[in-house]
Amino acid sequence: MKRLFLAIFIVFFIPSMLFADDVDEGLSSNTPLRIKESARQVIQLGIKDQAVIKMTRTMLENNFSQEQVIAGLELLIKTKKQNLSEDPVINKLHEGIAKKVGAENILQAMEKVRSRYEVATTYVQDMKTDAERTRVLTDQMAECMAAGMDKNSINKMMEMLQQKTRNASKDEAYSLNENTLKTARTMARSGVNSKDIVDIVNNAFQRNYNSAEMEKLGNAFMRQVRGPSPASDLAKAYSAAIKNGATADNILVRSTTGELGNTLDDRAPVGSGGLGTTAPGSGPGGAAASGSGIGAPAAPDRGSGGAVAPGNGPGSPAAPGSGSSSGPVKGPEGAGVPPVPGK
Amino acid sequence: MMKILMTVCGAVIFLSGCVNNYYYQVQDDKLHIYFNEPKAGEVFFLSSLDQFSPHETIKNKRGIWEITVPSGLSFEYFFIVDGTFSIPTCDQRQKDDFGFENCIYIPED
Repeated sequence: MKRLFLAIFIVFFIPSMLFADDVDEGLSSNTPLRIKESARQVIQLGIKDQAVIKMTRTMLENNFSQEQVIAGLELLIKTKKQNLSEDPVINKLHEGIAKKVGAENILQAMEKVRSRYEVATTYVQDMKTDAERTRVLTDQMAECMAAGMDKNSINKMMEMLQQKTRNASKDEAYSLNENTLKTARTMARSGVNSKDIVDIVNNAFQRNYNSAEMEKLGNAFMRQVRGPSPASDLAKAYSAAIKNGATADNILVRSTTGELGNTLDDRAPVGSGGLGTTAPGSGPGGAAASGSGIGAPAAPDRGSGGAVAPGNGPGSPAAPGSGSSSGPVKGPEGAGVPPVPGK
Repeated sequence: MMKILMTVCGAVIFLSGCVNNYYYQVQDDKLHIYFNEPKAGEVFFLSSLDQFSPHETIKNKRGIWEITVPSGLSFEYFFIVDGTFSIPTCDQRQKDDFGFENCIYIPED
């Protein structure tokens, strides 16, 4: 009799224990099998199981339909199969959830991110660099696009770069590509239109700016854009100055002494407003520092480190112009998202 | 002493009616971000550093909201002020694919 029970135990329980994987453990038992299967497929492609489970759970908790959850996971499968970075796509989901955006719009935004990286990869493939450098350049290129650079302008910039780096060594070519993209990204993020960015890059190349000078140019622009002058005016002044022979070194000197005209202003004091200069490494959506030590400062009057308050999340994004007194945030097309207390 | 001086300088810049409603300060491996929303009752900070998880900020004695994050990494961020999406008057920003924009922090070289 004992043996019979043992046999039954082995036949029925051991296999189910063996097949209970991270997906079964991470997702609730009433999660549809199709979703679990999709999640497993994503994990099998090499994406971290905890990231996939967190993503799946987040979608389920935020009223995504079964089809929408599967669409989100399939998007990740597509991203991975194209050898694109999956972190920005996953981050976009969490960002959309935090902003209380609807499921369909989140999926569309995730697809936009994937698509940007796909286009960026196509451009960067022509640059013939190693894997790590390819990743850096792809991030920068995708970020240029996210900052608003249009395809036509990127095409022009890439043509100029190809011409400039034709006879350069691999290292020199990479360095010029990287610093040019960084400078273009800085300008795009400051609100300079694509055409003006291309003009600046074109004029700089006409004046034989090298990689270090392109970097200085971007840094100088970032410091000066903190002043009151609109970024577009500053860009036009830069373009004209370079055309007239200003170097990356004296463009800073000229601007700080006002020789470029009234539109230029020196930077705000350190730490008092604008954000820093460009740096290599991950862009937005890049490094996820989990357990990252983010918190409100220990305030003597509060005596706490200000850790995240679980379940005390923020509400939804404001409808355009609905009471935020801060930056000029443009609202989505169509109806805005009403504020929700969320506490 | 340096911290106090920098904080006072930053506060003077907002109060002088300058363009920015925020400033930041890097100290060792920490980045302190200050956001001036005097009428807000509650301000959360969200960033790409940790997949946009909400972090409560603390209102300091000068009425400025304060958050500390690791320095050295670039990231996108925004605030939720009393349940409402908000970004400061940062000069580096990027469209977020939802019809809004996020601020971008880039560490100094």
